[in-house]
Amino acid sequence: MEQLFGFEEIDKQLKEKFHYPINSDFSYRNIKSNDGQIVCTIYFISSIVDMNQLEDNLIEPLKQADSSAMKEYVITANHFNKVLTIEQATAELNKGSAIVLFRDGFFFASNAQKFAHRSVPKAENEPVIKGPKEAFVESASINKSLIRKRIRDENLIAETMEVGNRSKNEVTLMYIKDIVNEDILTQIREKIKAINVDNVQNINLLDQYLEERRYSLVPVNLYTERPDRAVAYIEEGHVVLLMDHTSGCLIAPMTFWAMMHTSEDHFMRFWYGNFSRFIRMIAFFIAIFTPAIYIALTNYHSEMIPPDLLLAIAATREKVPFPVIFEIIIMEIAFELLREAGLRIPNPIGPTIGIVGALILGQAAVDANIVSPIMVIVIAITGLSSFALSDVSLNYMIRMSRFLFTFAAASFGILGMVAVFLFALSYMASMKSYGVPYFSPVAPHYKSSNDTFFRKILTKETWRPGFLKPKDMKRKVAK
Amino acid sequence: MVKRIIVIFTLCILCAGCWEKKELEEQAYVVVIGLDKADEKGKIIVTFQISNPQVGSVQKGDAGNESASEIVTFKATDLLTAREIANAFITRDISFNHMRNLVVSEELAKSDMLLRTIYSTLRERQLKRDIRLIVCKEEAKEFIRNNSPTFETRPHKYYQFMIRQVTDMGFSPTSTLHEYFLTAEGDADLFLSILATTKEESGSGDNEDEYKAGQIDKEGGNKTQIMGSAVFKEGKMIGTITAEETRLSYALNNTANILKMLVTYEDPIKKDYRVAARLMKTGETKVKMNLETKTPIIDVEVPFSLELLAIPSLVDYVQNKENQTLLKNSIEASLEKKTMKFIKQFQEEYKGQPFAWSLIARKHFLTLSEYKEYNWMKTFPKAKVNVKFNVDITEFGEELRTPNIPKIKD
Repeated sequence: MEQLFGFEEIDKQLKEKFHYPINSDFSYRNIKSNDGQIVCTIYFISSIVDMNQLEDNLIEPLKQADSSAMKEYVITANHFNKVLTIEQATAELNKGSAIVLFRDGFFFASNAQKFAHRSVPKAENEPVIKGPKEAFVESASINKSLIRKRIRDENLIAETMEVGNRSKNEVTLMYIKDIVNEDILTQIREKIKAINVDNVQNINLLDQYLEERRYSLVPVNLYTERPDRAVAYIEEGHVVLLMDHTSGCLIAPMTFWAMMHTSEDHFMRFWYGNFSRFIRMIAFFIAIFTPAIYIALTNYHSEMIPPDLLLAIAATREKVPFPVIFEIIIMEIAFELLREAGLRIPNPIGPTIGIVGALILGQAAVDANIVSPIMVIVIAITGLSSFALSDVSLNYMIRMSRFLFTFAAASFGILGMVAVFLFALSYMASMKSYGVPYFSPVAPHYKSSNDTFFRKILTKETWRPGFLKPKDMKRKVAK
Repeated sequence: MVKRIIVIFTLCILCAGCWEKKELEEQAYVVVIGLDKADEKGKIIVTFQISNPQVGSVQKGDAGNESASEIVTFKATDLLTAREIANAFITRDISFNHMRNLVVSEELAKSDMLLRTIYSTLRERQLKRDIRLIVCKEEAKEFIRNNSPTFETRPHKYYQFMIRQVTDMGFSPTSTLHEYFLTAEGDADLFLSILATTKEESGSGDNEDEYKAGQIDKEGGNKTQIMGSAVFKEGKMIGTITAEETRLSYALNNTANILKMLVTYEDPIKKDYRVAARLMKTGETKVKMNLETKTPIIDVEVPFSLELLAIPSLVDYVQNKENQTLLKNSIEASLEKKTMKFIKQFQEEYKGQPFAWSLIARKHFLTLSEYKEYNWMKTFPKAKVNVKFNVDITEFGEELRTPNIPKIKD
């Protein structure tokens, strides 16, 4: 082991690098051995190391040992890495290790990092009634353990890659080696390698660096905060990406159906799960089309409305001064305001939102003849339906495309709506996520367990999704 | 550049939109149209009944003392110009989108003006072919004004419910404009339309369905009665038939819906009483034709199932097989007698049939020209028709035993 500098030089360089003494986080301690000599100095960044661990595993033994045996101990202890250069030492310090520097210039890194993070919380954005309540936290190592405890398989691989030029953050790819398709894996690796920025802070930013169509409304990576969901996808042959500092993971590649599903669909019995899927499918269409259909019918196709309803709408609109399109825009904006405000509002004043919202949206606007009561119903059912879809990307996608449909219907009636729908459908059918068509396995058709609109009985879900081209297609033996 | 193109493209599309955009409250919805004969040739008197949305629909938009509909009558050459003229005294865009009822006076129906008028409506998009044709005995404008149902504030509701009732019972035919055109153009069958009136006259029949509209002797309620049908030949009205005859023509017609009706029959054992039963057509009417002979022979077989409901005479028709057979035979005989008489009336008086039998006759010809040459309309009156009813007594209501009145009196 050759050392480049002596003790003083290294000591000086380390302190300079970390701007000691301005930087109060950087600290060092001199260790005296039994015979009262100062033999080594320990450097660490106090906020990211575990002081107890340092005391027990490093400082105490060093104090016990006499000066000659000290180096011996340091070399044989298991949580030590040999460090050769100052650069390596600084990197180790940044990661939360402690550097042990001997008087003769030898130095070693001891792993004692302790970054602050939450304990495993309850899933808040994707709640379930029946099933695990655990969710990911902001620590990749804990997330890994959440996944690994569910798949006890030696083929489950956690491959780490570095991303970012300045702050080297780790991205972890988790997949099962003998299932996953190598092409997809290579594609993901290549895309991560191609990212050339200073710092990728968390997985949501990584998601945006990974996607190809950056102006698109449609996501290509599925984001979830539930480990059980991530595991279900890993077992099908998807790849899960984890990073520190995000309480969630990305699943790649994804299909449209993944956004419509929840993990509970499979935890519930066959009929219950499918019933809730059916409700969500209906909610999807209601949330997209209701305002558009309403405006198309009332402005262009009044013969389609049953006479009683028609007269009721006409009677309530009698005193409303605005055209229907304007009514819709007013109400939609009001509703979106409520939503955004409800999201940003600090907890203690949260309940006021409900009161203000109900009063403004429901009663007062109607009484003031600004909107008709039927419009309130239309907007309410639309809003309610959009809450039934838990996926965040899908939610925004629907809320924004709803405006497009509404304007199309306002200018061309049902014809315009159909045209935009066809356009949207063609666009989504042409989308690909890492080479996987967006609507597969429905269109184009692939061999799979057909977990799309509805699911099958568990014993009949025998195939892994064919669009992933997994190495092992058969999941279980059919009974 | 790309952005500019997108903006221009979007603007172009938006500028092309919004054609024929009409808000609901800017339109006046005509729900009933009445047609009468005018004194001048080539003109008609049109009556529009326009629904007032603010009355009787919702509380929020209620408008105090306005009436539920506005009725206007004026002279015009046809329906479409009438719509234009009406704008001189009606504030909103007049829309026929929800017009489902066309009331025609008997006088106009018997002239050739009806066919001309209705044909002109074919070109209008807003007039649908499922509009009901209703023939009334008085003038249509009078009929529409006199019709004041108690329950239904809004006029369209009255027609919707009333017509559903009478067609369900089989008192009146479905009578859509579509059928009217079909039969008028096919020129092989007769067309039946709904018969209605607000004028009461003395009755002819004495049992539940042997009436025409206006003949039911009742007290209270709405003056309007809908019952029986008007018979049309080649688009012109030529006569009327009672509700009972309408039901019978349903029974012989395979294009109509399966019929369910409640009728009473003479009790074969105690002749003063009548037995009430629900009849249901259980399948297709079998019509066999022999068109080779000089007088065509038509054999008709109608399958019916029967549910006994009321036996006021208290004769045991349920557990006693002999009585049952007696009843069955008497019902069949009376049905056959009535039907034969009714068909004879059609052959002699109206010279045609409203059972859509021409469809069956068509199958006996290889080519259209042969069929046209045969001239079904002309030959039917000469035909010999045999009708047979097969009645199965299947159900007896909820009570099987017939009570024994002498025992009760003890």
